[in-house]
Amino acid sequence: MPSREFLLTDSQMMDFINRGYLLVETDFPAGFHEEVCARIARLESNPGNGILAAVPPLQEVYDHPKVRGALVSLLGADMTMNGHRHLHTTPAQHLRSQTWHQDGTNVRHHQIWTTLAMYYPQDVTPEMGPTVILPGSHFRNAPTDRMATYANIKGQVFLTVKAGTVAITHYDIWHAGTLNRTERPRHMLKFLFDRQSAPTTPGWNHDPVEGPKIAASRFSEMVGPPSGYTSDYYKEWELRKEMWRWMLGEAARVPAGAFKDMLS
Amino acid sequence: MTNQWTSTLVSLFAQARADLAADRLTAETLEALERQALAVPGSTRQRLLYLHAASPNIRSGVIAAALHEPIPGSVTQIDPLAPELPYNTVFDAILDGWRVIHFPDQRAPFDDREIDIVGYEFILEKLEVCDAE
Repeated sequence: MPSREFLLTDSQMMDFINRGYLLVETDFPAGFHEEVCARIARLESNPGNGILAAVPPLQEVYDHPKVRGALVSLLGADMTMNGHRHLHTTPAQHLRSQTWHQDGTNVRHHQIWTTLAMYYPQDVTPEMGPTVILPGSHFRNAPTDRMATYANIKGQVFLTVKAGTVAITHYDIWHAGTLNRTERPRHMLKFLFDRQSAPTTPGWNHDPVEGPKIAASRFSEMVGPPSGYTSDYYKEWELRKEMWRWMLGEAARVPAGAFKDMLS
Repeated sequence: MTNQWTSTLVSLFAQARADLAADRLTAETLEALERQALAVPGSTRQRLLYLHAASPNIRSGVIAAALHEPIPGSVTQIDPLAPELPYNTVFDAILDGWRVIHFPDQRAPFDDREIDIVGYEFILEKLEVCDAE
């Protein structure tokens, strides 16, 4: 269990609930990330789920107190690293972006059972093919085929981050890799972390007096498409309240673990 | 993609009008005009623009756009270096000469609790004359 100082605050929890992601910056000494990149460069092939054994320093990234603090806050003290993980390398001059997608199949919910934790061992510039995510899209249940006609979407965020950043996202967030215009490959290590049981109490630095006020003041933040009131407006608002209440330990409207069962 | 044939024709007409007004229109000018008018390019191609708007109303805000140019090898994709979306509304695109060829279905399946895709999809076209290849 990480020290409470590394757990998320109510405000940070609302950031995650509203946007579906958090960026955690680690503070490893100079050279750590270069060493990770060097080990990756020496790989003869992509080891798939074997990437942790092939590049052992990756464990240190996910054991970093700030990373663990965020993961425990979101997934509970008994959260576990999923057996699936992958090195995503966008080769130099790979001039094709992925299309928007949600991982997995469309058995979605409005709880937090699994997160992606994407570690970037290099500074990522817009030219290098940053991961793109659409904040708030983790509440959407959208078959990937129906996203095929989108290209740039208003409000999208390109993860142009410093080396050592870990982007923790809700499993359902819309995302894609983008084109790499540079002469060197861009690496991203995607690990998954799983919650083991539904929350019964807040697992973060929750203030029972101020927390509900913070949440109430932020449920409507960034709600709906950026222009005007639409049907999605109130639905997004309600879904955020539902996720917040579930994280506090209140009863779920969707059977707990429905999505987790699908992953196992 | 260019529209060289059209711009050349417009230029020749302008020249002919100017010559006529100056009382110096010649057979050569008319023949050049005729040659260009008869040299109709072989085909037009369809430029397609997908605009996703916040509602089925053409004046609602555009929240996503994807332009498909009818050129071999052209690419339409998410681009970190792309400029802003080309139009604020579908209506603005219509004013710029795009024709809507697909409107979103107002009777699409509706769920009063869940949310799925972003926006309402309009597909627009411009037909443009292509140079022979």
